[in-house]
Amino acid sequence: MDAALWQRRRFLQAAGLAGLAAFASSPALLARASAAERPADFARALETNPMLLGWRSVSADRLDCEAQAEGRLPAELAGTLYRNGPAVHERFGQRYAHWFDGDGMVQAWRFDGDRVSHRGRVVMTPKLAREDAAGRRLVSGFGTHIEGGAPLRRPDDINAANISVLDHHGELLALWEGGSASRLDRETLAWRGFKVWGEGLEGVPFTAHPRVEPDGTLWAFGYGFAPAPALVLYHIGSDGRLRKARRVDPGPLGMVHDFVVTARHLVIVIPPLVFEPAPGRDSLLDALVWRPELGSRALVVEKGDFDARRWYQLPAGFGFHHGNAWEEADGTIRFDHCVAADATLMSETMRFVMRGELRASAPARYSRFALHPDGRAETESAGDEAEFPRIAPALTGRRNRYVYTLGAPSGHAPGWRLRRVVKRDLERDGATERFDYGPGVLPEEHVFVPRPAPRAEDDGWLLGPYLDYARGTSGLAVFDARHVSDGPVARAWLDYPLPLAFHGHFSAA
Amino acid sequence: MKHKLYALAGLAGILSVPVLAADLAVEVHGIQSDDGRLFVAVHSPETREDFPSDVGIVAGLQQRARAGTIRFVLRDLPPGRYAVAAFHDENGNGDLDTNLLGMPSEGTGFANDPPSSFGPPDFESAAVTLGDAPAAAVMSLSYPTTNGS
Repeated sequence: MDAALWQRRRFLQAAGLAGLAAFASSPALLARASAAERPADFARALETNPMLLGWRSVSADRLDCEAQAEGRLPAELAGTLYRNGPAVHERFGQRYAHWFDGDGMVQAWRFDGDRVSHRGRVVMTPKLAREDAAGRRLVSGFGTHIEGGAPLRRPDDINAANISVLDHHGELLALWEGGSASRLDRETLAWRGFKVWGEGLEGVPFTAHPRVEPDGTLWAFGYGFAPAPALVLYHIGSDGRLRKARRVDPGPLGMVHDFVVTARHLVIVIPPLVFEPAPGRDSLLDALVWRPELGSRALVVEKGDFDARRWYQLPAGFGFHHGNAWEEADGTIRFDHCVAADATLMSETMRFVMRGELRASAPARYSRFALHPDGRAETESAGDEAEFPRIAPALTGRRNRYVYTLGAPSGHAPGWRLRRVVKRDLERDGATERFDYGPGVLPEEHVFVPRPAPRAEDDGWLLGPYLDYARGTSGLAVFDARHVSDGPVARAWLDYPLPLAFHGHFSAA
Repeated sequence: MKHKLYALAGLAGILSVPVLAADLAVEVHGIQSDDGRLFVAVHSPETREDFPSDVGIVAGLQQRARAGTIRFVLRDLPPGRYAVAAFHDENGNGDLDTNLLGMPSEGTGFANDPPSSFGPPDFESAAVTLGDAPAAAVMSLSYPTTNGS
């Protein structure tokens, strides 16, 4: 590598998101793994594999309907399930090459006891507004390289606001992870601006998985690669005001999607997927290199003092999501992680599905870890395939008994295997109760919503959106969380199918 | 919060005018407000690998900002190839403000408005050639977006 190129790369890194378009201005490189796909190829694949409806671009930027309710909607269930996920996979004749690139659609499922309505709005980020004005795709994404794009100077230039939603201190935010959170209008869901948490934090990345404690205290992190790889830690009060933010050197860093908190600590697991831009690695995804020899590392930071940090070494693995963490009396930290042997779920399955091909990858397994005060880290169990863990929000950072996840039937069913909702009882060795949606349905993250004044940890409901691709429409199932294996007590059906989304947040009325 | 990490930051106060030759016209478009000052720096090819750091700045200018476009001429530069960069010191603190990660939080621009690349472009893509005749460096500033309409 010549010096000039290296130097340039340092500047690219210095701006925070190098690999995304690092070599955009040298178009004569090899075949591009991250070139945009052709919509027609996907449409053909969809004809033979209806499951792919989950990755079809959303049919309209604005969706509204009164859902058809069946069964018994709980009268006390009143509020809004906000959700977010990539939805605009195709525009201007180009199809994104990775699931994570689709522009976000924020959805509001409103429950008022006997009715359910649904609203979906594509988040009109500056990125998408700029592309709509130009009449073409302009900016590269996480895993897609757009030829001949516009100047990109900051991570927020490609902010797709497409991962999750947070409702905190009266402010509704659409969350991405490579850049700022987006402020939304609560009713219309219109984009209002990027959230700036404080001075010096303009454009600093903010995770899609902040953790909110029962008293409203908000903990979050962000990560960037510039000018050296960096983590940022946030402490935000229940009043929505920044208490502190700190930049931390994480060592080799790639993607960090989620974290957990305990009563006294933040715990951030850093997988050995390392950002290493190089010629030909056109997208950020291409520049993330699997380095299992580094192992995974867990950073433990004191809530009260972001300078008080210690590190633990874990076996190499790649996981997106945690359910929860807590601290034992002796200082041992226990947490769970849906973790796979490698990152092929993201680098293979989630990439090739965009061209209509469902490739197998290492499954994420529901795994439990212990970090001991003497510096030892231990894998306490590694169980069955699981994703999208959720808990009773009142137990964030405290010992929980139940975890709700999606799960997969045993065996190697082709395609997207997560078709069950699973309730895990950690006090009975992870014993499970489950409901299988059966073939033809793809369930999404199921969110636990406590009943008002709950009498037990599982006294509440699971709200589970799903795509019924056999029927060609989406819906939402309501479970009594005490009796998951009984199946839904009610369902609400939409008039339209929705692409699979990622995460949700329930705001009680 | 101020860091010196981002290259242009050191440009304040460097205003040397070297040996004669031709004039360089500079046009900075897209200035978003009248607040603060506009800084423009002309970088020497001899330190191209350092662009756009404060190393190798051979000429520069700072003046009151004005919303819209500012045009001016840098006179009597020796012929050669120069990269040109600018930032809008909107809060008038004499520095390019950066966020906690070191990314600019004020408007920045580069001659030729080079396409896709995160952060500052390389020397060559922000460069113009100054021969015996006058040349022009044209750019639009890019600002972080924080608010919707």
